[in-house]
Amino acid sequence: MTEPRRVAVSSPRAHRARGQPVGTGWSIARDLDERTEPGAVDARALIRAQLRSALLTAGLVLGAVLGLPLLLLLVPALARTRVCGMPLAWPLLVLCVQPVWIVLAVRQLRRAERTEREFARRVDRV
Amino acid sequence: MIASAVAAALTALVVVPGMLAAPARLRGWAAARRRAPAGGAASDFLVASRGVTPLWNAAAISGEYISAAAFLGAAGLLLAYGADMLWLPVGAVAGYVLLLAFVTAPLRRSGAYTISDFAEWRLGSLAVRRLVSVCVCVIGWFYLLPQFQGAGVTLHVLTGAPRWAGWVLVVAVVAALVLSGGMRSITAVQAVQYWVKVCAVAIPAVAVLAVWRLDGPGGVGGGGPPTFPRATVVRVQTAVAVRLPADTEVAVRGRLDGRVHTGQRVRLSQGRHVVAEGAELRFPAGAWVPHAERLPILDDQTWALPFARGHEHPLFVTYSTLLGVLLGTIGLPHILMRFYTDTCGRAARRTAALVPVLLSLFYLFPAVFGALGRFYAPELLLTGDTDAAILMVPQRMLPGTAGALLTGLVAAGAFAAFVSTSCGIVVAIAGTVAQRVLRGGVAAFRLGAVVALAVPLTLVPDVTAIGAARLVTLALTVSACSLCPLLLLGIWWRGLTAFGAGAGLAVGGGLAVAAALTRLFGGPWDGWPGALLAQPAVAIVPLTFAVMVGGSLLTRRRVPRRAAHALARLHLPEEIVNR
Repeated sequence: MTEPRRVAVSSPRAHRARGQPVGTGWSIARDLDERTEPGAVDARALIRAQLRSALLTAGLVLGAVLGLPLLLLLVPALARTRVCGMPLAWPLLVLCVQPVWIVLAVRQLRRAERTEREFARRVDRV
Repeated sequence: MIASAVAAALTALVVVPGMLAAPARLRGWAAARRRAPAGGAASDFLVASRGVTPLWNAAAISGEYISAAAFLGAAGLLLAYGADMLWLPVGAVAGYVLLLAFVTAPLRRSGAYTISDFAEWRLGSLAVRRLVSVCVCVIGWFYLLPQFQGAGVTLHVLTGAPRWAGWVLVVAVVAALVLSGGMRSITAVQAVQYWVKVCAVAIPAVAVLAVWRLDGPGGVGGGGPPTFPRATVVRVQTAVAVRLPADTEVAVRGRLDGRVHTGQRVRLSQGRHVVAEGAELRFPAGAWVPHAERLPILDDQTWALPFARGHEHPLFVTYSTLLGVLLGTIGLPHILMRFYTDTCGRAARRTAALVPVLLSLFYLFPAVFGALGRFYAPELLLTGDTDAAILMVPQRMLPGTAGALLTGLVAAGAFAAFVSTSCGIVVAIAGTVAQRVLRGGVAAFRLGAVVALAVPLTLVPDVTAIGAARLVTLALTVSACSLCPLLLLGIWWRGLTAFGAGAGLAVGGGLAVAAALTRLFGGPWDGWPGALLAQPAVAIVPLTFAVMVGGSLLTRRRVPRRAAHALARLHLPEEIVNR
């Protein structure tokens, strides 16, 4: 190897958190990083897949966050409609938006875990 | 009656976490002693044990996030500004969805305890680490201000004690908890306090809603500006300039507009008046409510509808606030640190997915107090203490023992909010500061905790004019403009360099702090400059991202050689890495 010796730059506490003694690398990551091109490609594919699903979730969140004010601003009649004596905006923003976030969170969680499971299966096969 | 209920509630609040903390503290100390020669004491002191389940940790995170802003501020802003303020809880919960999607699992897998650790590990630069530590301190200080301020308002409104009494009380309790227990005890305390807070808003909210349904005014938002529903006596404890929507009769004892009155009736004309300290105003039923000068006078229709206020640039202000809250939630140091207590990246992700559920449950209730406060506690608009809406509504709607007990419960929840959030922030600041000074020993941690509490305590007397929720928005905006871009790019983009990250932190964080300070201590601004200074996130966040990306591209050759390796470490599941 022509590369100079690698120096780990991290706090000792971080090593303990990973459950590893200071100074030892871990095999597959080094493998991915240095030697085997297929391993690196695999890790990149995983990151890209996770990024895609995270960006989709972010898009949905931003869509709702940008869309709702616009909707209430452009269609004042909607906000003025009364439900149980309250303008619609109140039950809409207090009761109806939060479940959307919960659904998006659960969806993102399941997608991320599925992506990881599939990755683990692929690595096992190799 | 009220005072005794409050006293009982406060005692309970101090005793319960104390009991929880004591056994954990003993265990912590024993472990610290055993390991002291190896230098592991501080680590044991800072970090909760790693057996925490996702639900337990999610409750702790929610407990830490529900601060004075959520507890008092959300209701206060609704009372003062109306439906436009319904957006804040929406943005807060949505922020956790983004946190789940982008940050939690990779951050946990990095094994970094603080964001500073993460930055140094990812970029290999001490300079960036220092910049991040500065950001953590500044965000924490901005975040502590409203906690102290909320405690001051709560104690002042309930007992008439001077505002500094509340500040000192919170500082003392937090110092005692953090200095003795460390983080290990705080996980348990935070999780329990989440449920304390939910009960403390939910039970009174259901009670006042029931009373309102039985005898209240039919709907929200039918008439003109607010009036006193019954004869009301207001004692003004700090001099205040008020504006009246229309001519009003009032009996005055004390100094009003520079003239001393001795209890006779005065007819106040529409417009501005100055009420001196110690004056007592007796309003007959149906009198118009004078508003503190900085609050808008809104008729019911305007108050109840979003975007009806006709204030400048409503869409810009709403979007910028939402963006600041959304992205700011991603970069909150004390919240990010909590994920370190999860067992692995997957557990961290599950924890983050539970947080929106718990927060949504909590956020159902503050709006009730904000809305009812307009009818039952309108004198808060006069004194400007709108953050006290949640404390006043129960005792106004349910006089007697029931009201006193409910007020005691709310007060207990409020103090739980101040104390738990402050504890989390202080641990975050102290942990960050302590790790590099004195090799991260317990003494350094304690010194850091004292510094973390002292700075905002000296600043809080100067910021009394801004509500708790707005102060927290400032902290969130700083976080959105500094740590959030660092985390997102550091976790997902291999090309980030120390130079790019540092430049982005300096530009984004610097501008956000400058805007916040101008807002706090500078004069009032109108038009676009005012809107930009109040909510600068939309302008600064893209700039920060641009500087980070641009700076990194300029120094492309200095991309850390281990960047790919680090990214793989962040995203590969633990069971593959450790096989």
